[in-house]
Amino acid sequence: MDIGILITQWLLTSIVRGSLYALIAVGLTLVFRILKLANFSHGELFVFGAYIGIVFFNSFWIDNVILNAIISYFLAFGATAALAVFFDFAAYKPLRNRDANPLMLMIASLGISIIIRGIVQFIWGPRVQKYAKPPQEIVDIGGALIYSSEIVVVFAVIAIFIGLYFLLTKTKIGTALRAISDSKDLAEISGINTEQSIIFLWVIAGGFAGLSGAVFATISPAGIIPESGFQLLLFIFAAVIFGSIGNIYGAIIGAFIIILVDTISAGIFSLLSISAEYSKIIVFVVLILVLLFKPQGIFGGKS
Amino acid sequence: MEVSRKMALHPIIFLLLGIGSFILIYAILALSLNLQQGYTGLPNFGLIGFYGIGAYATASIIVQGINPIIGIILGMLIATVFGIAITLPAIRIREIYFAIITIAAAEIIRIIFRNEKAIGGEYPQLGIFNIPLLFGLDYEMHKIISFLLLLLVVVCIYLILQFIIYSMPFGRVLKAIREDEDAVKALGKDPVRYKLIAFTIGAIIASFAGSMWVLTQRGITPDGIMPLWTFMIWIMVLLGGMGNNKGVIMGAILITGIQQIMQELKFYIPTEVLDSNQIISLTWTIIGILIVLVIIFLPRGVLKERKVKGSDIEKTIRNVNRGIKGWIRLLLRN
Repeated sequence: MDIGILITQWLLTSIVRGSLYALIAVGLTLVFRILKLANFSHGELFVFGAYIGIVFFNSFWIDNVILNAIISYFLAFGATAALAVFFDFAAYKPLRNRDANPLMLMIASLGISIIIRGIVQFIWGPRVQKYAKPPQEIVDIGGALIYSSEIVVVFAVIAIFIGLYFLLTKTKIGTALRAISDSKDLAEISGINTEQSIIFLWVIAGGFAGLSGAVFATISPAGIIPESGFQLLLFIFAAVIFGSIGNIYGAIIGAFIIILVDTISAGIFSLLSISAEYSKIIVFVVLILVLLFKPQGIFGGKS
Repeated sequence: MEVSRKMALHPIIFLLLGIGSFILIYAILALSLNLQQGYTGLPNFGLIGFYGIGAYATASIIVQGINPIIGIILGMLIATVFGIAITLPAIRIREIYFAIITIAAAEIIRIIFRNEKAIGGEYPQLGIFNIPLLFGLDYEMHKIISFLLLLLVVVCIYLILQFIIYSMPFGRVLKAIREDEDAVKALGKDPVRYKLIAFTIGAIIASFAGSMWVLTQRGITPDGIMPLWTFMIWIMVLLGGMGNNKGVIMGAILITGIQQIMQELKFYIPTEVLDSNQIISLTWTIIGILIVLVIIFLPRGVLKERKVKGSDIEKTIRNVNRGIKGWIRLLLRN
């Protein structure tokens, strides 16, 4: 195979996967920055959204494929956001009020991840769920192949990020969130309704994770299983830590870089006929090295 | 299976022996995690990786036809080296980062075992099976001996840990590090060295638990070292009470008990109501809910950590001065 086409293919695949991972990474990094919570249930939010999305998508309530997809994405966004808000009320809020230390918060999120995974597996079973009708059109970019739906996804994600940028910098609720991340007590004193802002935070973080899951499930030929969440989680942590934990732009760039590392090493490994699963090891080694030698991440910022 | 053979043991006793063996192996792991997290404050999220090292070392050595003792020792050595390699650079960083590093390390180990034919057998995805019965016994005797052996191991590890933690200055330094590292430094003790030793002892115990699993359950699969199992050990330690060895053993009994009872339910609930997958999912959901409830309502666990009083130390010194009889009393007192 021509090496140029191969590299183009890797780049394209990385951009598509990377944009979906970036969508999740943004939520994880925001939650970490504002609540000081390393959320281990974030991968499960992705899986939950993916199942909601794919189940509705495959039911084909609506004949129009595009409309069907859009409604399933909205459903996934809403359901996952609701789930995230519910768990905030049930678990994180009492812990926050008690000033529990970050490790305890993290273990609580671990418990929540196990709960969500159990629920998903209880309802939908352990088998793979994938789309019933594959996306049709294939586009040829310099010899590399990509589904037209994937191009739409990349542009949609870019649009979402632009929206998020304005939301966080130009609106009242965005300013409130940034104020809380600096100091929750000071924000409260200045009359910011912190609990309401935190609900909004979970809507964004949970909703994006669920949306990303639904999009992933409806365009990926591999489909989704309940265990996907955990594998994904360490990748997202790698992305977030690589791009400085708490830094949104860092998380987005980190997601693309981590996926690029994964895709390229998987590609090289399969060329050398080594198990492609070893590419995960490369990513985890990157994660460990960044944590050891530059825990504040590549883009500096608050650690 | 030897089902067709006539069993001398009552099936219920047979079942209880099996559950008991599970409980004891988890108790070893819980004791190991308690030393690392409960007493020293090192959140090891990759505990199951060290267990996997012991299990795979022992299993692959046995498959080669070499004495399993060599496998056990090999597992402990690799666990030691790996533990030091992970913790030495990671020991100074924040506990959340430490947790993420250990879980990533455990995943690396699992992926290697899942793919390397040299370690994981001919079909590494399926794991290693057909480990021979202990001492060439028959199936029933194997079960009984396994249980007794594990019981002996747990009692020994428990007594040794209690001795290290409550009767040696070492244990008090560990607890001091957990509470205030700078104060320990000010007293001229090097926290890094103590943490490293505590983590390594924990890693060796976890590796030994893996070896015991292979010897008594006669096989190991890559799915048996999924990160999920680490979290099950965590809930045992959290529920039982961090920093209380009796508590974590009780936690192991409770959680393994719940899990095994749910497993048995599979035979009594018709598949139309709940299939076996749903029962497993339900078990995990219950364990997850327990984790959250314990963190919120019982952050110090059921059995709280025992405070060490000045008189305890005096008693220790008196017992040590009494010679061998005093030492035995010291071992049994804690």
